[in-house]
Amino acid sequence: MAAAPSGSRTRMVTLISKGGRNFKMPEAVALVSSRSCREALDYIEYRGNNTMMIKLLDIDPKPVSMLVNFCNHMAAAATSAASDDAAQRMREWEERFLGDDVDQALLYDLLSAAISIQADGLIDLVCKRVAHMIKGKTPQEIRTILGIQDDLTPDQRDEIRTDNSWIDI
Amino acid sequence: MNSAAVSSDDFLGKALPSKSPLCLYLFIADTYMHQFTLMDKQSSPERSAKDKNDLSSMELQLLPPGVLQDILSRLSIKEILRMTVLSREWRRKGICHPDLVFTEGTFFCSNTTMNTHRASRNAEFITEVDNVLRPLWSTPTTTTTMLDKFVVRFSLGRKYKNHIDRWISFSTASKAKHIALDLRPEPAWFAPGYGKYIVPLCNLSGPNCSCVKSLDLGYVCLKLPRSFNGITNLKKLTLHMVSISVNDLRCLLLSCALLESLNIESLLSPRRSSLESLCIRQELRRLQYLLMHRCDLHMIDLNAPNLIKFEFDDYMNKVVLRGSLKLSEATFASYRRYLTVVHDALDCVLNELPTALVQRLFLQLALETSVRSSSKTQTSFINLTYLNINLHISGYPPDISWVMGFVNLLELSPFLEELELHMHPHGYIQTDPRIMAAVQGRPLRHLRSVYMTGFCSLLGVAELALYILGNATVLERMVVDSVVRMSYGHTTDQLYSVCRANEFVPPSPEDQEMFGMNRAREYAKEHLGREEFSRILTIL
Repeated sequence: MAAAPSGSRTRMVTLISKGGRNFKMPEAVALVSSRSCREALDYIEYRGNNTMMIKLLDIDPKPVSMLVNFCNHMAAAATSAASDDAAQRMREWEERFLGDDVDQALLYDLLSAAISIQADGLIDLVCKRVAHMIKGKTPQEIRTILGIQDDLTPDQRDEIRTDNSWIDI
Repeated sequence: MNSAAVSSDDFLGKALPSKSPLCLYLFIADTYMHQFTLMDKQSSPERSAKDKNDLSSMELQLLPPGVLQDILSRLSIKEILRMTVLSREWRRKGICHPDLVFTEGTFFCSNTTMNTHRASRNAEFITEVDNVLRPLWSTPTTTTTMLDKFVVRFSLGRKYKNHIDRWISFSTASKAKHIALDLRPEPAWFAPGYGKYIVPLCNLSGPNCSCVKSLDLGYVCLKLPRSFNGITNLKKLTLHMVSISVNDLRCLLLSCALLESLNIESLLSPRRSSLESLCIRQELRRLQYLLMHRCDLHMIDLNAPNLIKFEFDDYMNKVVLRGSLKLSEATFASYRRYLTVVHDALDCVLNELPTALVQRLFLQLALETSVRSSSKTQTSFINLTYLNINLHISGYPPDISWVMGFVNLLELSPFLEELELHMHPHGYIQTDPRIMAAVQGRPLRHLRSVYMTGFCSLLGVAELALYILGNATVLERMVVDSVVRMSYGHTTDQLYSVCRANEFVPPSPEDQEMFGMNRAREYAKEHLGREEFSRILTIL
């Protein structure tokens, strides 16, 4: 873990979730993980010691805290040496991170939070997970997973049956 | 990724007023244009209401297009087709795998019998492609799909013009960055009955097609319309067996100002009565990679100041590159000379090279060794650090004069560091009983690493090896392999080099015995296995 400089000089970036909860991460971590922070900090001329605050008032506290957790972990992993071992440990951590207690609503909120600050690493991870959920499933199973109503008209059904007969609707 | 609605203002905490027209616009935009930005705080009441009732809902269709593309790119085409039948909304959305690749393997894998009737196979292919594309057309001319790649690799001719025209329109409407239309016939000699498909270039140029960055065309006909404005953002152009007049080619290159890579193979010009020349005096500023194989042209004359890599062969009689001072890698293959006996073959090749400033040089040559040759080249290759020669050797040399051309070349490359000499002897090599003649020469002060394959007992080969061992003062490593590793073919993508060894299949042990490679190994050990070389020399 990269040692944060001691004292009040560490610049922080704060994400504010729904309900006004604040989640902080060091500016260095935000610069590495979030494209939006990089771009925004480019534009800001003088901040003094102010914290940059990002409002994500739309999003529940839990996904935002997971986002900050992810960013911190990724920044730490980036500084340590790359090796097969480290890659394996990262994969295991990612699996635990998106473990069984992460339901779909939380997954979606997490994705929303990551998109808001353009945290490419987390977007990538969640997309991988969503693709994995959809892979190899029949349309009805996908509908169950994603909570989609089957509202196709009979005409559309006929069309699909002739064009792409191998799909079982 | 739609970042238009995200501004640095938002980050600094200025919330949008709740009923501002901007928010209303974003809300409407969401419904009708399938664009959704998560900074739009107005939609959250709707979502949280839905959440309370249905915790397992995941509105994937509301994600920004870039993120949805990311998810879809991890699925196969069939899996995405399954997603288009989920509901009306999903069908309307017109999602698609960002890389649409249609080849013979896409549809004809497991369930088809070998349908020998070509026409019905073609018809089947076209129907299948149309079936995939039809749901994505929302109107006959527009689509909401966004593609990265659109690739069709199948042998089709002009008969299917209407279908292929529609596919091209679809790919440009979907903002595909890479379009490939490779209609080359399989087998290569088969010509479709109605002639080549003529590409409607007007559909590929113009403001609607500003997304096309890479174009790959095979076995088509290109005719430039009168008012051709070029394909604005085209960076990479590949033409295989394309019929285009030299004048049209010239206009095409001049009008695509951002072109960085040009690969032309088997250029077929309609006017075959006399060989034409491609001369472009204007600077092709962006051109970095130029590959021209089997182009029946008399001469090319180009001005490409930023050219880095150049591949060509002796189908062209003359090559002039003006101002290509940055050329660092060149590859030359000699095909036509294989059939004729040419004196001073190596000299001719070296004189033809448009620039002596290259750092890496790849040559594929054929030498007839029974003709006495002399080398007169005097041009130094002062930047040359890596040299790779694939040599087809035939004939029975009367002496070692054929080797002197290579000795001359080594001495003209004072800074050469790595040498790879891959030989393919043709004909039966008899172990020559003549006494090894020493080759005198100047020291090679930078040569560190030498790799020789196809080492044989032909007169001159061992002498050349000894010359190198004796004159390379800083030689660290020399590997002599008697197995012929080069391929029999004569095309430059088959040029053998040590780093690409795993792409080539070595001859079987039986073949090795039959073609005398084992005997050659003994010969190498006998003549080169001296104590003084044991530290650097490895005989495989």
